[in-house]
Amino acid sequence: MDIVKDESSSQDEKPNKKAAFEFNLSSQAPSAHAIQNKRARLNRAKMQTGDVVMDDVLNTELPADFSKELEKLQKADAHISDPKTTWPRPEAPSLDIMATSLVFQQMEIDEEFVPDNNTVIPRLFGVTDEGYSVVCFVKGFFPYFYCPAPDGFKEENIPMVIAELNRLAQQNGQSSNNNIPGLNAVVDIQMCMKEPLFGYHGNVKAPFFKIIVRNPKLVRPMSQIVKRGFNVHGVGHYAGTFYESNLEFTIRFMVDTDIVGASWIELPAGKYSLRPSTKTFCQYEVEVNYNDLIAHEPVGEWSKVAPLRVLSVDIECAGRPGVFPEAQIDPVIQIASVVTLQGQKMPFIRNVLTLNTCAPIPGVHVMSFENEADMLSQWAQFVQTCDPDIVIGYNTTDFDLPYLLDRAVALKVQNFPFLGRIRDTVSKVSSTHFSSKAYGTRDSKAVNMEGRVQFDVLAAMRREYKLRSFSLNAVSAKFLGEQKEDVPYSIITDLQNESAETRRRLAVYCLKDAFLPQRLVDKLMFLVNSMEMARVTGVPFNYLLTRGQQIKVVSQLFRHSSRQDLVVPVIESQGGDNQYEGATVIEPKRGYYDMPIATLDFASLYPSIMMAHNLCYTTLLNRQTIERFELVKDVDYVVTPTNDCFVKSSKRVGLLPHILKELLSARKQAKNEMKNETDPFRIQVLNGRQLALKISANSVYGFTGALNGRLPCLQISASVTAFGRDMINETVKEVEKQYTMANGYEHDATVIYGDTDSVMVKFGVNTLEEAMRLGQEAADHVTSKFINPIKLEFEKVYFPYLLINKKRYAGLYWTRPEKYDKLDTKGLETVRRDNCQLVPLVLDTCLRMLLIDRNVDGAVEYAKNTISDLLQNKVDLSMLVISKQLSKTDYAAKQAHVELAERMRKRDAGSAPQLGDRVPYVIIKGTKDAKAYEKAEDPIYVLDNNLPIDTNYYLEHQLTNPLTRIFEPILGSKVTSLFKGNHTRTIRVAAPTTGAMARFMVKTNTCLSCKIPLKGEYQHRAVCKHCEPKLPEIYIRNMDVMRELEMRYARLWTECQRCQGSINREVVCTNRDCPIFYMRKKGQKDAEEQAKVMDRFDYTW
Amino acid sequence: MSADTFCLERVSVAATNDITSVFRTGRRTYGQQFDELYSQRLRSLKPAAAEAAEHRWPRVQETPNVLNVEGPQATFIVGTVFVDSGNKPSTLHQVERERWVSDIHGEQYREAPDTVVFLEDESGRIRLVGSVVDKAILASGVVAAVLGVETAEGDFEVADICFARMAPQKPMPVLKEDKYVALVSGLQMTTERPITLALQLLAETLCGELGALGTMQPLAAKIAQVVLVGDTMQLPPAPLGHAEDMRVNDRTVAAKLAKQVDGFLADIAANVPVAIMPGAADPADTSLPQQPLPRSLLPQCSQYSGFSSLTNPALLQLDGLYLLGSSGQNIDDLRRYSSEPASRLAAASLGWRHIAPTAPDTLWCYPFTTHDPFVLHDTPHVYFVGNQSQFDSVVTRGPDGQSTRVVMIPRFADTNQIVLVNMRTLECSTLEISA
Repeated sequence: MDIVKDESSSQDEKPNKKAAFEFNLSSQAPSAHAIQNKRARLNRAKMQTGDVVMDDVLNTELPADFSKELEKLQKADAHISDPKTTWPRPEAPSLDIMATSLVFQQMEIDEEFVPDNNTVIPRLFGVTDEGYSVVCFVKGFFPYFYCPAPDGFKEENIPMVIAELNRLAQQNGQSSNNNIPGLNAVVDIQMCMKEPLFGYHGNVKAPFFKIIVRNPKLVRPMSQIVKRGFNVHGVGHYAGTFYESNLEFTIRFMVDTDIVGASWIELPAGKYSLRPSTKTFCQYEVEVNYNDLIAHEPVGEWSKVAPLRVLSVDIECAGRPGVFPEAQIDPVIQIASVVTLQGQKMPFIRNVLTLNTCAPIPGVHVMSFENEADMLSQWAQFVQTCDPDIVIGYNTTDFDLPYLLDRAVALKVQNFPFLGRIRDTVSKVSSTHFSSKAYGTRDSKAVNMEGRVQFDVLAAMRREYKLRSFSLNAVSAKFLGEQKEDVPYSIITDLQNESAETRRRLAVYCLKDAFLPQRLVDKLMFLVNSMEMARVTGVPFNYLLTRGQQIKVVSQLFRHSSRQDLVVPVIESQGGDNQYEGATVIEPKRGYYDMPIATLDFASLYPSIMMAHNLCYTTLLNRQTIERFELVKDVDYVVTPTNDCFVKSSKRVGLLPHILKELLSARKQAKNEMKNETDPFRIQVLNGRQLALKISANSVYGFTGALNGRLPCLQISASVTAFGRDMINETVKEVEKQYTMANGYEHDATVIYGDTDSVMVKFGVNTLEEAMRLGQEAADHVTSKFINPIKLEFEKVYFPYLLINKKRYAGLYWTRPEKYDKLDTKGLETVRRDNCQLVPLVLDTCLRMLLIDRNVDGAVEYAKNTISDLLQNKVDLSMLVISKQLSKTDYAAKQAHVELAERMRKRDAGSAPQLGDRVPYVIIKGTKDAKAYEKAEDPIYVLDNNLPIDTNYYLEHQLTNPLTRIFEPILGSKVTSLFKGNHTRTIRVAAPTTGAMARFMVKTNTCLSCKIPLKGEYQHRAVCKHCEPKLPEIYIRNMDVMRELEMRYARLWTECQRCQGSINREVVCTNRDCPIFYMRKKGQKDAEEQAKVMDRFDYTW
Repeated sequence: MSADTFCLERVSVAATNDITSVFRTGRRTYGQQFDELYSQRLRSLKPAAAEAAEHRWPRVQETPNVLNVEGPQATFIVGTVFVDSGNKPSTLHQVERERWVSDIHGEQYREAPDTVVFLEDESGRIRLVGSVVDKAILASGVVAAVLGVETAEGDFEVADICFARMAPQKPMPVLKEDKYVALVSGLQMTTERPITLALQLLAETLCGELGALGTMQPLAAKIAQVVLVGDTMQLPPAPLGHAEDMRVNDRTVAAKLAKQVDGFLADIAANVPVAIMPGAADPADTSLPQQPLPRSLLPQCSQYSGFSSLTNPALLQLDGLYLLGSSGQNIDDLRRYSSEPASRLAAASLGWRHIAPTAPDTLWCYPFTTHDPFVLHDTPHVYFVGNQSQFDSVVTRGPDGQSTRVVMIPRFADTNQIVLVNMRTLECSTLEISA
């Protein structure tokens, strides 16, 4: 169809338009001249037609080759008839063990007890480059410990010692009944030359017994026997100290075979054998002697990652109103699973199992079951078939997996609890208590899934980030930049019971929750970074989530000590907190600095101190040693500021300095490789590696200072901090001495603040360039005063800089003079949960205005406006919501959120918060003597009933302190003017629609202009008789309001439709972390109110 | 200029304005959401779309809901199109930054790299893929029938698309004489320049006062109805702020403008029937359908029986001729989805049987629950759209002989043009006032 437009007629007219005369008629009548002119012009009014005929635009002809195209479409899309065919791994070819070596990346290492000979053998689970799963049983490796051999012991007497120890073990074993008769506890004893880790011994090794025992459980009893003493042939009664008896068997094995976490293992052709039985779900089941396996160091080619299968899971349960689901009673109604190959963007398996029918979901394999037990057993079968290497999810460790297992027990689903890779090992729920200095203490559950790594994203989040809220909503909002639809518990059961369509809706929601953890893992590179951490520190992958910081240092320490023939003592936990002095904090010179402040940092301060002064267990000296070896102070050894002595590296290089040097040079190398790398995935891996190396280096110092740890040595840790303090003080002195007017500089420099490893210097110069130049110069100057490798670095300039207090400051961060990098804040109220969102918003905006716009007046004005808005009830309710978690302990004192939860339960048990939920509330105006805890109220209830907010509470308890802190350095004592004055005089309070007062109020319309009550014929009109002349203005004003409210209503509710991914369904989301949640409710109320007002204008024509 | 001094013998029409009540909201409530509006729309249009599809693809089976498509067998499904696009501004992000931007428009929605087109019905939504989708004139909210197959990823590979097509049409009235409807749009009167010379000339032309010396008078005498199609005023924007502040804002300037406009229009209404539709810049709702400007705003005009205040959109019947009009917001929003000329998009709307498909998603509208007033149950004879950058006109024909004159009315403030539609022949022409 052609469209032809006739536009020629308008073409020739255009130039004339310009010639038209212009004058303004707004206030005067047209002159005679003008009218004359008009007439003349009107004659030239022009006719123009645009007569084009077109057919129904949308009804284009069917293309001629249409049916062919369609046919092609149908063929091209060869369909997978049964989605279950995508579950299993690619079929593994049979192995020619004599010709091919088997290479795989191990992801999990554990042990298996072999009852036949009472031993324990390590098992390695992993995946080949082709994606075949492997389990490798390692033979011939036994646990052991060391003890010094007695003086004068002859090696040929070893068999006698073995016999004696075995006899004692037998005795011991009989009494405690933990041994199998006929099998000897001690397998062998070897003599070796070793040196104890602790203290300097003049580099002399001594003979040690390496007592090799049958299984890890025998290590401790045997070491106790040795400690108590026994008869050594040819020597007599001998009691020895034992070494290394507390090292975990898995780590022992990995240390001795040079295997690090998540590394590649090669079983050379001809050196391994296939196992006949299929005890596991793995495709290759092999055996190897521990001497024959090759552990590849994870560098170069071997830093690659196998195509690991990552399963992400989420379940839904149908709870009863007001009760958290209990596995004994409440059914599992849906289980959603997505499986992704590591490194790929989209999952290749997406399925959901539903109890009762479910309408289909495109691209998702929906399996419906009438019987819950059948559903559970299908899921177990799915896990076994698809055989994931890693199982992730959100709170799966504490909730989803235990719930499934408990439910299977309740329903007696016999074939369910086999979720690991060992066919006959039952998965069970156990309770664990995790306590770590760095990560805190928490009770949690654990489910064993042998051979599969469990990675709960919630746990990882808690370790890595400090957030206001760890709900999946909040976390995805923060990291993925999207809010998530949240279906309230209370309606899940309703959706389940209604129809196949509503169950489908639930299923989509469930699938989303299964996919989000995967997206978080990808976005935050959790797996890649953890893998690199496992590789750097040498611990098995799963230790990163289940264990603390110490084990990582232990693993590295043992690796290095065994290479140097050092033996590590077993130190009984001392407990207590014999605190040594920590880092120094220079008293801040508080204030607002509108000039560049240079920051000088010591690079890796504590590691470099340890390296510079050779601080280590192995170099520690005491009086006697100094005398015995006739060591000379400052030549052979240093005396630290804490009066501890360490031998210099010329005598012996300490083990810890050696480890640190390796870590830091490896980090340097990783960073260099990163610069030259182009492949984005490789860059991610390298970045994960350099981060892991940095963290590892920094954790060594902490390890020496942990009193309840494996190997505390306060002489080291106290010396480190003491050196650090001295160095900071030295730096201050040096900078303030050097950069003076006396030395020809423009100004006298002052250090305004310093903390741990950095100092902030005010050079007095006004430009960034000058400050950066001086900063660099000063860093180099100070560095020259210290021992290598200690290095003071100039990193950044803050300009302007707001120094509030110790560990509290904000500044604009510059690394180059052209453009600032970011706004940097420390210690300000941004993440505290018991703040309402107004606080961080106001603080952030004020800081931006102060530091980026340098607009002090603007910031003050903004703060005042916010306070004024608050007092006039203009702040959006969502900004005022505070939330606290409802935890199970009985509270001695009455707490606002607990009381509120109780009140809500009385109103409606179904929607009331349950244990573990966060209770959102706002503080409302109460009666005069109302207690604070009585004034907390459910925000929804507040909106519904128009309850007045206690704005003073928010001003006094939420805004005043943080605002005072940031404005005090600028305004000084005038800061109180923020909270007093004209802007606080206008107060508006909502009139409640319920309550004592409301009942006595008669609703009458008042004049929209003068507010007098309307009576008689005016009762339903907009204004009273006297105000009628003002009607147009009154109308326009009110229409302004209506327009705004219509726009809000429309934008908020359409946004929620987009987020929930449906336009035909009601939005039921109750995600209270989403700022829209309260706003849209208010939007409805406000629009409806205003629509009533608008109805009072006369629209009849 | 007063009506008494000059008398023109003028044609008259039998107007039935009460049919504009389809766009009256009545008492408004806001406790509901938008889902019901979409459901009503789909319910109204699905049968027609399915019928068109059966006619077009006679050998293909329909799959009754979009989620039941399965496997490689070609089928067609009927549902509501939804275009998801990163170019749609995120209310959420604006809310989080505490900055509401009233004018959220700016980008082409279908040009974003993350644009996804879905087809949705009560059961759920399925992603539409293929070059046919990329080329089609489509917008969120349009009800469509789609032919294709499900892919392994669970998407729907589209081979062809069709729509409900034009609704039935009442027969065209037979008129004995030429009569004109004058369509005037975008006068954009402001307080600084309320009545420009061009406006004054326009008024005199419509009243027939100036035609005595030229050829215009006979034409003016044939103008049976003047319709002001939106943006008669260019209201100074309300100061931004909290709703509570707006109630006490000083709007005396705006009120003064309203008074001047009232006087100006009353003078015209004294001579010729005038109907006024609100537009985006007038003091009326931001959401469609905009309710009529109230009597309180135009007290002088309201004295004249020939003056009427309409909704936007509005449906008029003059001597049996049905005219559907819009002040342009619906077409402006459609242009975010397509680079087609506005006239073609307006014509496409008739084929969709829906004049505002993008409401409520990106075009604000009232949350109707019992029906979707933007669904066309009858095809009008004329569909005019105001506030366009230039005049344009096409005739679009339907499968059953329906024929509609689609008229794009240029903004008078920019072009000095109005459009005259001959009610007998549906020919249309612009009249340019050269000031």
